[in-house]
Amino acid sequence: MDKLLLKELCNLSGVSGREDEVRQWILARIDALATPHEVTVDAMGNVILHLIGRERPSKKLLLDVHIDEVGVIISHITEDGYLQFETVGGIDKQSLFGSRIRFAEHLGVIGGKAKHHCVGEEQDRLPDAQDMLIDIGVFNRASAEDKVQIGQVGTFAVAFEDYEDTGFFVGKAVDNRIGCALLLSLAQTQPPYDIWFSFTVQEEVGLRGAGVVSNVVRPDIAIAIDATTAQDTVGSSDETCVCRVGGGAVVSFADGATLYDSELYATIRQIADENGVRTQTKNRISGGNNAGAIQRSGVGVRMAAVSLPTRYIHSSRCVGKWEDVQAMENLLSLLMERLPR
Amino acid sequence: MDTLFRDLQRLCNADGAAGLNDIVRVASELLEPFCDSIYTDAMGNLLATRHGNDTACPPVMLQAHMDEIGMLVTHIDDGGFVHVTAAGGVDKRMLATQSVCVHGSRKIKGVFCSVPPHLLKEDDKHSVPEDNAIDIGMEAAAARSCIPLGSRVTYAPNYARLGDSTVTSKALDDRCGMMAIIDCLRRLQGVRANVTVAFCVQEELGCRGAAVAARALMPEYAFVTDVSFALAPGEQPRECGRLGEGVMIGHSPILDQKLTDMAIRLADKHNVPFQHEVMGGRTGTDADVISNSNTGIQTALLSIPERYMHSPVEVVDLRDVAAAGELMALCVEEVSRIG
Repeated sequence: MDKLLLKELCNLSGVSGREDEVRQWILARIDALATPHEVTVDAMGNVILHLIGRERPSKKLLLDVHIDEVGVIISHITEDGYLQFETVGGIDKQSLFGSRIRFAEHLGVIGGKAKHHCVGEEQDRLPDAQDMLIDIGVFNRASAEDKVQIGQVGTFAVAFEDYEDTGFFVGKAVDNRIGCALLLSLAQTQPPYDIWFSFTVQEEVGLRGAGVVSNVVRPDIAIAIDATTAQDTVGSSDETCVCRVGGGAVVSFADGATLYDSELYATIRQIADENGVRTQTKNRISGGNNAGAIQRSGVGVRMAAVSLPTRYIHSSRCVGKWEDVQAMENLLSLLMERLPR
Repeated sequence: MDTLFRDLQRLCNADGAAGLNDIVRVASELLEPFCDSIYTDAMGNLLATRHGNDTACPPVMLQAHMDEIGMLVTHIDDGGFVHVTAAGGVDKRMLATQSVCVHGSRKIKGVFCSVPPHLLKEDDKHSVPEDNAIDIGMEAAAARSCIPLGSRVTYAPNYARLGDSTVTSKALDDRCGMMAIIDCLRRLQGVRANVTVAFCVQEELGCRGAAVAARALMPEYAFVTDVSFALAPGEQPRECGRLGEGVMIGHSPILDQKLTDMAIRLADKHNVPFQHEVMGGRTGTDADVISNSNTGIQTALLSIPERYMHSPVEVVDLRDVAAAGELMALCVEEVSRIG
């Protein structure tokens, strides 16, 4: 995969329900595809890409990614020009305090009472998100309103970077621009069979776009492609780490939203093993993704999930590794060809 | 204001936890047009003498601290995570997912670990981890080979414009004070005076560098500039100045009353925006150790209001920095005139 794809996608702003910038960027890429395809955008803003394969399959396969990310939405502007906000999606609140937030071209910061003035346990206790305010460097409500407005969404102001020669990268919104980047990369080659790719909205606010996509596409088999929590960090153990960065593509048997099709799970891991693609599974049942909505749509869908092990998911800086991205791309490419259709 | 914005950017983005020389290089370059005999003493303080000083005038020292909040590497665990201890008052509440530079045998970028909400227990949602560590994307052996224990860690450079006149960065404490002094030197060009500059080390570790600098430069007068608290969410108005409302003139038993009164009089006369900062004793700045150095030094404190002190997202208003520079220049001119 072209690394630039992921970099550019992560730097775009696409908070749930306000995914326009990401959608337009993806549509422009789809427009430039040389491979035969059809594309539609539904009323919610989901993008459905139908790639025409060399042959017609008897079973429809859908690969789904969500295009939205967690963020904040301005709920009120104080007389002094500070922004009150609500969080959108399950944002990592530990990373909010001391962070920088971008509203279009305007920057804001979230600070609070200086450490020097904190008394007792205040020094070791994070303020509630509803008590935090965003400072955009103005002094009254009118100047704030020249820059931002109530209802406007903001994302972490963090630029994607490679971590030198370590093979790691760091950026905001890796969940789930990694999925978007993978599908756009895979779409450059004509698949052996027709296949449907969906770029869905509003995953982070309750898997709301995917069910609609599934009703339109009516797949027989679907794979949710997403980022998942890797807690292989400080103080973790094999039992608690969920999965590991550098351990290969994550194929889940279950998560907080879905019990996956066990036959499909076994088949996918077998195909990976036979072709030397590294995979791992999750050892804690946590999180969830669009699979939870797709599996239960229509008359039911056989469901799998392939994820990128990602540290500090839903925070300002998610950390992942290129070798896992490559494993995911190799695996998905194999599945497009080998899954029984 | 554009020069101020750009020069302050260079100062803030320089790495300058105790023992790092990047800030010394940048500060020397900015002093060069105005000073000669720029040198560092045994502790690392950067000292300079103004071009064309008139030694008949009383010696005046302009002082700010050069160091920033940082950390020291204490341990690299078997997972390759880098553990640190604070060097200065690091705000632990803000460490999760912050971007940092580890200054090992080369500069290595890293991110402080965090636990995503999916895995947090309800009770832990407000707690700050006691022993957080830095993820540098390396195995333990690789990390240990390029990061000796004791290596410095700083927040990654992040200077940016916020509003029309405000900026945000790590280390504005006290790079904006250094900026005010450089601005003051610019304003003093051609003015008869006898001025030295001290950019000092280890203020954040307890004002350790400033007294040494004062002993080397032997001034009669000292103008110290540092940041002070500006009103911000969660702060009490009685403990704070206000951002954008001018330089804060310090009143304290440890500061020289006549010099303080003079600063107020000059600010009034020349319409320099200012506010009062009253402290019952120690000021928590290098002024505390300068004023009782040598045989005693008449010291004034001109502070710049700052929001979110010791965080990676400190905020100051460039107009306040300019006001500090302007008032300092007026004060230097006045003490030089009256002798």
